[in-house]
Amino acid sequence: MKFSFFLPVRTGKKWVAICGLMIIPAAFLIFFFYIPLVNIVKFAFFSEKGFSLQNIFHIITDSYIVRVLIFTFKEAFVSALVTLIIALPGAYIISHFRFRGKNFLVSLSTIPFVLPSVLVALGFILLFGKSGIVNSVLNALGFHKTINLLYSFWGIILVHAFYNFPIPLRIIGAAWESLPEKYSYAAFSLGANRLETFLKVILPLLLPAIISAFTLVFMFCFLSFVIILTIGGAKFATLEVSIYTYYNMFFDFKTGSALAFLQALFTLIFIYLYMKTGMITARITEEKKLRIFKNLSETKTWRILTFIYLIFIFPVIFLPLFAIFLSAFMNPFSMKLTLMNFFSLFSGKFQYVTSIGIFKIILNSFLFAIFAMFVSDVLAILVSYSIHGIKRFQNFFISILMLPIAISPVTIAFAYIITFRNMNFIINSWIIIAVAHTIIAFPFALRTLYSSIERMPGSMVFAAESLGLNRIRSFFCVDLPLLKPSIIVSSVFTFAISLGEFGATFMLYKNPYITMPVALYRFISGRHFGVASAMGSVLFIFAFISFALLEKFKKEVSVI
Amino acid sequence: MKKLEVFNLKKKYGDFQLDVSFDVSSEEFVSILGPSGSGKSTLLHIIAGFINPDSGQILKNGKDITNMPANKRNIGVVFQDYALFPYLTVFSNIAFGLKVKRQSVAYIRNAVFEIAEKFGISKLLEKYPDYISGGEKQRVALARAMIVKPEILLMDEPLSSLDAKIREKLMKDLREFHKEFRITVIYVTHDQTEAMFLSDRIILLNNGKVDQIGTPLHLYENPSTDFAKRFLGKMNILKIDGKTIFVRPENVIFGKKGRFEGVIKDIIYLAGFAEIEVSTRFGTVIAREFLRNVKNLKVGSDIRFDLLQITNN
Repeated sequence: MKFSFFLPVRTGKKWVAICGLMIIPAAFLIFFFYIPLVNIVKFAFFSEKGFSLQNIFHIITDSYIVRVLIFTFKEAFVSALVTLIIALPGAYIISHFRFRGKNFLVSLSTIPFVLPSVLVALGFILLFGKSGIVNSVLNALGFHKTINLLYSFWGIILVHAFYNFPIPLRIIGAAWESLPEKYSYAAFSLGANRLETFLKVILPLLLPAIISAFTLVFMFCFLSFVIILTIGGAKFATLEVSIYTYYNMFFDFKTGSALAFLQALFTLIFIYLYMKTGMITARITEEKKLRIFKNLSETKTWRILTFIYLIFIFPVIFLPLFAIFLSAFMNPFSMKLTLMNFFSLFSGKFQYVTSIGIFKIILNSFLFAIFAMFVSDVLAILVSYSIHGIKRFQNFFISILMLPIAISPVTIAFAYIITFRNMNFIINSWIIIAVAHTIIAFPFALRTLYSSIERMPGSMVFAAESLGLNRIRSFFCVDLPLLKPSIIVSSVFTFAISLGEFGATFMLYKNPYITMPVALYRFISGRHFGVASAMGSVLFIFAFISFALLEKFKKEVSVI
Repeated sequence: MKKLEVFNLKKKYGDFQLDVSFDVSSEEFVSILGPSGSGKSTLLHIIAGFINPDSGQILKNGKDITNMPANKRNIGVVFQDYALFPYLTVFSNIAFGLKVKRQSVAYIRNAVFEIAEKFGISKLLEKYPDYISGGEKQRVALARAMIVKPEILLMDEPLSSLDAKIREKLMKDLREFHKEFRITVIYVTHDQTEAMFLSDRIILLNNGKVDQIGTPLHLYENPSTDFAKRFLGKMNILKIDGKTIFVRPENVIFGKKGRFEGVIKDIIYLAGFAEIEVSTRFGTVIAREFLRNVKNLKVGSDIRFDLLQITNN
């Protein structure tokens, strides 16, 4: 009976309660996630003649697809490695010293989740494009060679590294900070010097955290989509891009399904590795006795090194965002401040690119985000209470429910197209996009809410009941206030994810349902950078509000 | 011969100031006993070389080691919770100190097998620390520290996170260990039972200063400061005729011809003995009696008793 005290019923009808709570989420997920997923497997492995490995065989022998596979792994590996190298010194600094700007550096870890990737792509194009800011400055200084990072391998790596470096910074920094000092002391007392202690004690103890961070970044880069489309150009394609291509250009469902299946297989392995190493990290660092941070002003060498590091890091973070605002508010010819771009955006001058008005686009994005936020919160709460009432197999059910996190947005969209292609009222309406956003956001809501429902002290619920409240009223009077910070974090997270979602929307949208990221992509494709920057600024404001809200509330709730 | 001498060792943390002098003889088992915040862990970390003192001197065998790096001091440490490396097997944990000394593989194997035999942990060598018991961990930690033949062994509250039953067993093990190896040990604890059970001498530390030094028996029978009187064991502090006197509960002696009188307020039965609370004109006095002597006492009845004072010398 250990876990059943949150349920509305405690004896006899427990199973009714568990199933009752689960019925709506189960129906939603079965219809909009598991059935489409099964269809991918069906298309990948079954033809008219029955089971066949032909499609799988096709994709592992096709020279183009093999090249795509090799590129995807190579790009993800190099990206993750570079990201790690940039983050490691920062992880050391934030885990050992106290200094101005440290909290800010740590808080950047939510960037990869709340800052839409298409916005990052835009920033880099404006910065490093042929007529971008860096080249203009170089020109003005008298260098007449242009740097060309766009449409190149290293351009992709650079963007990925910028976008993702706060993740290992946070994961490794946190692990290092809570690494008990007794281990290095033990090594010292046994005769090891500083280098030996680092190599033989600290590094092995940090290894799970390092692998964990590496795997997560690797997976994000492995699934990279819009950054490859915009920064890589036609030359490069990841698996994610090729699934889109096989559907969009060849209308080849079978190969597309086989690719999606293969990709899901890989991401499942990555997620497993990430979770496993994360658990080991948590075990090693469970001692909550945090180290005493040295004041940076006391050690000269590290003060200088930290300064150099920050000088290097902050421009990398801010220049792309700065470029967006600069290009939004600046007339490129007269170099004067102007609202021209915003005027063009809001007056409908570029409506031929987006086919619907900008206010409609913003409203679309907003409504989808509200839908995704509300539905995934409610589903996650229902599911969490239901699972909490089960005595065994909790981890099994959670894994099954967290599965959407391992399925890429393009794959989800692709699965919808296969499954609902004959149901016009779904596939051609706003519903399909709203639902896709919900499925993509749901695992984040579940993670946040389940862990806090699991930790909620049952005694408080008992106390409320002993004071005469029934379970429904105690839910509103006790549970909800206790869960409030988690619900806020979960809501902001799901809202931001939906707002910045590109892959699935791009696959599924019809013109009336264009969202801000898709419109932004269209502006970039049409090389209307001025108006793209204006659009980008608007999107950035929303992302920034999410970031600030998360900052305010996430102290009480763990996010990554 | 003095193994370790500490002179005017000072370290300041905000309002807290550590300021101690003492010495430890060869093969002695000395406990540093004090409440949390008394600076005992800081002191141990300074002796080990993990923290530098602000001023003062540490001598080992008469030689100054105050500024010597920790890895050159040849002082072994057994940590709170033992700090066994979780990613290494028991074998590799024990071998660690020899490996960083770049001993040959064959030498290391022999040395580890030999010491494992001594500590009775030969069967655990392939296991990881997460999968062995608390008692086994203590043996592994001792073996790991002892294999590099340290001259002094420091222990930082090794038993503090264990439950009472196992604690008693491990205290016995430590006593046996010290009898057998005859190494100089400095043992930090906040637990007076551990300190009295294990030590040749106890250094009582209070708020960064040495309060009193002596054998367990001496400290118990002749606590010289107010702090020592209150900290070690139970103590009745009574004001009788304007004079403050200190009396151990077992030194409250009932008898018909006793000088004082009172009423039994409560009798609390504990394992093996009972505590009797007696209301008197100078407040509540707590007495301690074996259970067999308590049978004819009744709550509410009058009683007479004598007091044997703690002497100050």
